[in-house]
Amino acid sequence: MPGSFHGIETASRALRAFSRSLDTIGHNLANVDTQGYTRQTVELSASQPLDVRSGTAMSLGTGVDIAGINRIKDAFLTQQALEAGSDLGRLDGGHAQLRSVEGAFLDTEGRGIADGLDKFFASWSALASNPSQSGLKLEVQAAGRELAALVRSTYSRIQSAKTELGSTVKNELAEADKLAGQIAELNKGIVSAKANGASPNDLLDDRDRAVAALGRIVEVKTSEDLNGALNVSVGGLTVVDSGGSRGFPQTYDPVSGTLSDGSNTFPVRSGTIRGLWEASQSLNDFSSRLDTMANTLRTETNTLHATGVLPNGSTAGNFFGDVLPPLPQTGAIDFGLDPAISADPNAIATGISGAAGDGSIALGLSRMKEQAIGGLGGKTFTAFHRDLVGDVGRALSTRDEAKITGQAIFDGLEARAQEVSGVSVDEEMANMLRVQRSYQAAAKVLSMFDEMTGELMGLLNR
Amino acid sequence: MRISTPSQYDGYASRIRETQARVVEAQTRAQDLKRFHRPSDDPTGLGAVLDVRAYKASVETYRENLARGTGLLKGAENVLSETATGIGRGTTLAIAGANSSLDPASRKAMAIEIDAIRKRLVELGNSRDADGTYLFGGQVTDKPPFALDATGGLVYSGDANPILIESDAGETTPANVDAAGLFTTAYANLTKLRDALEGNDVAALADLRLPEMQATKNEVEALRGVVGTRLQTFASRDANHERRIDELAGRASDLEEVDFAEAIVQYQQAQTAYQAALQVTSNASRISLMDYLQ
Repeated sequence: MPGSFHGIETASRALRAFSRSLDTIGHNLANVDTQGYTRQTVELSASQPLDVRSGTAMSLGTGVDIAGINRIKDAFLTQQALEAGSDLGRLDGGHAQLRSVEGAFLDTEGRGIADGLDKFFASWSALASNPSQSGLKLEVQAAGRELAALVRSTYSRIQSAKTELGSTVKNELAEADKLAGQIAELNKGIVSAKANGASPNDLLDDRDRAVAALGRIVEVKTSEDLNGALNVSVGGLTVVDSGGSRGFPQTYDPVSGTLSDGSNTFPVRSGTIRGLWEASQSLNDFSSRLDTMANTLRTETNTLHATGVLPNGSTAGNFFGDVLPPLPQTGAIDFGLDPAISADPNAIATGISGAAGDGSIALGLSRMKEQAIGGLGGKTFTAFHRDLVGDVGRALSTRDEAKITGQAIFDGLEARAQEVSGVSVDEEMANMLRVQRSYQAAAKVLSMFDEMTGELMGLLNR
Repeated sequence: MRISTPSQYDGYASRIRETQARVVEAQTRAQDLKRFHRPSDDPTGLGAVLDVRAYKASVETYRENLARGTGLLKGAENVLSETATGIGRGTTLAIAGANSSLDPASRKAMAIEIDAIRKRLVELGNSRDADGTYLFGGQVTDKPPFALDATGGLVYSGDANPILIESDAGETTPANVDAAGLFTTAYANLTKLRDALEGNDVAALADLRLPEMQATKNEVEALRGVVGTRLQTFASRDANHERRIDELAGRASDLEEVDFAEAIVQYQQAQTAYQAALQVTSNASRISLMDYLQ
């Protein structure tokens, strides 16, 4: 048999439910600008009816209950967005360093190594026509010095970018470790809340944000346990599970592009770390090509120059500074004029006979510009450098183009996720109106019951 | 399709960012009219530009070398011209001296004149250009090639090697001429002529000295011809190179530069798109359900 105040109880339950709905709407509106926030809805259901016997058996409704506060999220879209985010992370990783190295190649402005090579060969050609002119020897010395300086400075810019990449990798790994720790902490909170029957929606949002941030750094695979804990793995290595954070491996092999936990190696295929690795591979290629060019120019020039005889009868030495064989040459890092040439342009040999008008060696060195050089794979010096600059540009332009596509894909997925999970102010306002009216109706019911019970009380008082 | 408020505004913001970036890019291009500023803007285009620049630099060097060679040859031409005049005078005097009716005193005067021509010949043989390069010593350009020995004969101490200039890709051309034989023979012949005039040896003058002078004169003219031809070749080569440089400059400009009108139009378009994005954002953000709720 329902009590006399059953109606009041029903109405007040309704007021509580609508009040909670309004709270949730308010929470959604408050978080309209929160990154990664998933909108929440209150799920209402009719509360357990009362069995009543009044002649026949009946079920009397008892009002409304809050069945749950649900988080509206599409798990499939979340997974796809995670992968797209990793891809973007890969395209971003190392981009700044590649851009900085590109800036070292001033060939677009006519002040780069290509221009230096042109001036170098031109100076030898002019000297060949007028071998006894000391002014022209000075120009050869200056052109050689300028070319060497350009090669060295470009090389050192590449080296600093590589160092920067290395320290960025370390920072990213530390950040990944921190995020893994955060995910493990959130797992604990979520598991215990779920065990109590609650729905920890905001904790789930925080965990999703942490996973997305980690996904940018490396590609991750996630799977959720029944108790609500999230397992996170990278390339086969479990990083977080229900037991907590296993710690993110901090050892990264820049040669193979793999992570190591001390006993096994795990490949990294996407994310910022992968991007940084790809950038470092490109930079290694560029610096090794500069080394090849410097060493080949050294060898070819010196071989010819050293056959020369100076006007005073002494034999010529090297033009570019070199180590004594059999030591290997160092490369672009110390590419420069031989000290004798640097000190005195008259140490420059122009011919093999020592006659003042013999420009045979200068001519030979000038004509080197058009020759296919074995040490450069059959390319001329100019063509070799042109290909290098082209590849430097392409390393960035392919990334930039891929990034446009990748960003479009990511934005598309984000938009679809927002369709499902994003807060629409207009929609929430409309919901608020609905809840407000429902609340008014329930309040009206409450006041009606109050009036009716008041009548009864009034009768009893007499 | 459900639109959430953040995604709506993210959309506006990203459109503004994109259009703004395009405005800045178009602005930079319109200001310096360059198609690319970095290798990544157009890697293949930059490669083509570098090739053109390298080629142009080579052709400019060839022109400079040809100018140097022209200088040497013109110097030689001036010397040979004066030499021809001197030898011509010698020939005239030989003809006059061979006239048996001439008095010995006149012949003596002629001998003095021949002597002066002879001395001048040595000076001419040792001519230098503005840089101090000896013109007729072969590759021995830092020492006078001609000197008198103990017997009074003219001796050549230069070599027979050419001064080669790079005149085109893979091509070298000599910019000097070998005048060693010419000068030493001419000197010897002038010496003999002077001696014949002084000695009043009419028979030798007519039969030997005159033919010798005529032969020398022909040799000088022949060498002048060689120099003249070479100068013409240099001039026409230079003209070709000049044309090539103009073509290459045009090609480089086509590859590197943006047409001004095109750049301005692109800038206008980018600006219009940017303004449209701003306008849409401003209008759309004014509409909200909250304005209609009491």
